[in-house]
Amino acid sequence: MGFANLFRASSREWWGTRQWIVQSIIWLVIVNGIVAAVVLAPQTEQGNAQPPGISGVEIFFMIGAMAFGIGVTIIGQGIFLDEKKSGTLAWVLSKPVSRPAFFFAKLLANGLGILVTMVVLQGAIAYLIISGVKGSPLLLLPFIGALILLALYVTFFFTLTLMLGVLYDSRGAVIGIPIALTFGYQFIGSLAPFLMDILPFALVMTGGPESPALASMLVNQQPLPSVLPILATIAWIVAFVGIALRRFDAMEF
Amino acid sequence: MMNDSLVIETRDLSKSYKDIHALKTLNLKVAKNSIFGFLGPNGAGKTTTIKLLLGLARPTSGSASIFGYDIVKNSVDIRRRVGYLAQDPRYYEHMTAREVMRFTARFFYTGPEAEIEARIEETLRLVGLDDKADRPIKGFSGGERQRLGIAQAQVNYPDLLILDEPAASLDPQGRHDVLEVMERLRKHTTIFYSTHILSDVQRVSDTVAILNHGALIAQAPIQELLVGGDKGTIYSLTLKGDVQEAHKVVSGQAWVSGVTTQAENGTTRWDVSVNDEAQAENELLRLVLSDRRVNVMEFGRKRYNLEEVFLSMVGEKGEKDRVQ
Repeated sequence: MGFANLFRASSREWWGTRQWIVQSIIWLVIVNGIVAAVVLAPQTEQGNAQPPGISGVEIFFMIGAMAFGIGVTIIGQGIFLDEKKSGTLAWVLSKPVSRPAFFFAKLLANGLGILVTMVVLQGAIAYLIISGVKGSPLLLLPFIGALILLALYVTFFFTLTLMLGVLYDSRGAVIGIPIALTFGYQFIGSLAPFLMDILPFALVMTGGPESPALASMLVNQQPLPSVLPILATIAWIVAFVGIALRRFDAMEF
Repeated sequence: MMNDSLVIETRDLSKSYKDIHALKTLNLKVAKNSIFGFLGPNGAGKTTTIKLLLGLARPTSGSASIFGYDIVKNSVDIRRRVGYLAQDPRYYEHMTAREVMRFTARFFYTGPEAEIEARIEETLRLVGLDDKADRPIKGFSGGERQRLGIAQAQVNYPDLLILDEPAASLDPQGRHDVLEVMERLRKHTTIFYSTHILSDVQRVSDTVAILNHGALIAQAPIQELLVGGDKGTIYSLTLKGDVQEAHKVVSGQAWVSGVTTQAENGTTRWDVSVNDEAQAENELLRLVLSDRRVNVMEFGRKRYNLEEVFLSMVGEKGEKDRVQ
């Protein structure tokens, strides 16, 4: 009850304002700006400006993953935290709206805005840039498959941030944990390599020529060594949502 | 099965936060189409009670029902029929007043847009915000936010209005307008409201409950409270002249339990406590008039103002509660 109204209001904050344009431009500059700079760079003596073994596709997914991981944390951190602090959460919950409806309206409306402006739009632009430089279009379906993995990665961080926003009242914890995870994944990987199989980094982060990201492998039509990172990421997302819902249901004002 | 004439019924409703008992075994009954005033000093538990009723907090023990629905199991069903004004109303600052009203209305209505807009316009006009309807909330004063709060609370023609300090932040004209709205709405809805402004409660309420330190210390129709409730029958006289002899005569009557005297601006005020109302009604005035040195300026059953009742209850019973 109340989901449609809340979803509409939250969506309007994206599509009824300049938010979607601003977000689109930010990620265009940060992500595709770098992709374009790298793939369009003059050839070096070795014939390729890119680091050996790193293609334009890999650049897009790695830079995208880092940037979008930070981006969704910044966007997501205020969704519940600001409403708790401002008192609007209590006000809305005094209307005939169920708590799950409130949660899912915020998750889906903001998730849609994030996925469209970050993954879909930037992915489409990267596809055009890379295909243009390559001289022939990348295979579309595998690229879309790779974008789905990027979407999963982004959703992991988004739902993590939302969950933290429900659990904590401190902005430090809500922002700090996802950002630490974004920048610290290699450190985590070196401490406990098995974690890399169950965290989302393997989806989009290339660890070197010997460990390409699953997204890159999809684009290059290589067989995936394991689907465990995909399943694990989905499981994390479900867990984050479940924990957030449970805690949100028990919240008092 | 719940009595149909009751809108709110609480049964030993309690709320504790760790070691703090914010509410202790509250038993309230709010009749349909009444205006129920909920009084208490700061921290008494009034807002806690309201939050429990609306599902914004969960009881530690006890239960309550609104329209026969349980406040925990059927909270959304209850909120469909309730309009609520919080003590410090908050809205999305980026919205205008009209957008806030539209957002609120859409939780209750799915009908034609034109009708929803008409209802919004009507409600904004009722609270005097029609000329500011398209301004962002960000620039609103405290009084304007309060008015908007009252508007959004009644946009759905609620069967129950729950108002937490509805007259706060309002100037005297604004308070007057709120009370007028409440009296007008009484025919269509039940109003449950908390306030510190005792004169407002005295003016519009049918029933009053007084809360202190989380405990209910009085609940009665306002008239019953104002005639002293448990203090027994007291007659109030305002006299001029030499009252000494008359005082001796009256104090000596078997049906008089006590006479308190207060000198005021050349007159003397007596509060005569009696233990036989019928005899007092028959004889008290005659006794005083029989002394020709005394002129009676006023005579009648003592009527307390709510402030006296409130302070005496919160004072004496507050001490007992603290000891408990």
